[in-house]
Amino acid sequence: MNDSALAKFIRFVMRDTRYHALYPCTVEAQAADGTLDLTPDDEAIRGTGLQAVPIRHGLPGVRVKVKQGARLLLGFEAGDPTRPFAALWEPGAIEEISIDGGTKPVARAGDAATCFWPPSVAVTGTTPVGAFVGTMTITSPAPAILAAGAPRFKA
Amino acid sequence: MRALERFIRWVCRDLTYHRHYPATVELAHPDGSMDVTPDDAELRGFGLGTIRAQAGLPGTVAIGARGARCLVGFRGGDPERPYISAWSSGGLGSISIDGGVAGVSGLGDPLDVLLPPVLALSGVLNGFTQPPGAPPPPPIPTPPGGLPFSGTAVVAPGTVTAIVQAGNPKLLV
Repeated sequence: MNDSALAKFIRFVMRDTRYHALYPCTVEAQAADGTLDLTPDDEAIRGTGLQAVPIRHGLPGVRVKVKQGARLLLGFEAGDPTRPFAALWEPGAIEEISIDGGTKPVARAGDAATCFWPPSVAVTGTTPVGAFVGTMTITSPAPAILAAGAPRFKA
Repeated sequence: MRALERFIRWVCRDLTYHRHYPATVELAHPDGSMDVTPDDAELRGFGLGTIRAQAGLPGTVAIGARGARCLVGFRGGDPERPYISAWSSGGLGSISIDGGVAGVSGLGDPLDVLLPPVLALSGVLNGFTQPPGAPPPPPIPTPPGGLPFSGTAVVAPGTVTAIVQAGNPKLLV
């Protein structure tokens, strides 16, 4: 067995280690269940692409909707080619991120809010015609803004 | 040849720990570490105790709830140094960014409005005044140009409410 033949043999024996790596690929489509159809860049694993690939996130409790054409890495659970997963995104891929099943957009410092007043506000004061004591009814909600937020967490 | 194949496999046995293995969170500890049970029977043993997650964002500490599904990897391929490398959807225990401990607000969430006990007011009253009496006499309109007013208003604590009206539509909580 010469070197070349030995190298080929070792390569053959260890062929499953090909699936230990992470491969760049492109999102072709996302199904309603969140799984992805992907096209790997690497011709050696591309085939006709991979369908219904689950996403493995860098944080628990996260669901994402991504754009067609988004770029990410493809890996294989336990190095098993029948168990692909998608992870680790390039910037600009996002359509929507939901944390813990959330459906409400995150509010940020400077975002609008609305204040609702009590039915009646006690008022005392003076007018040119004399002292005034009574109540005030504020029928219009008052606009407000969020005055503060986590300075290092921006949305 | 079979013996050679086994020998090569033995020499390269550490490659077992280059893979990422599916696992389930059994317990989250107060210090942020977690006990997990790998699916793979060869790795499982008695499970992996007090391992931590490498988060997908810097400055982030993520903890999975019991039953959360994740992938376990090994730093440097070292079986003594396991970590959680990725998560399936769902199964959130908590996420803290930049050491944060305050909850994030979302569209429609209520706000506490902090007003002083007595509000200074000044301005011009326009409309009608209602003289006292029973039965009530007809309302009297304020004079043209309004009625200058200065005084105070007392707003009972907790009676002013507010809700968030806007947020980032791409980030939902």
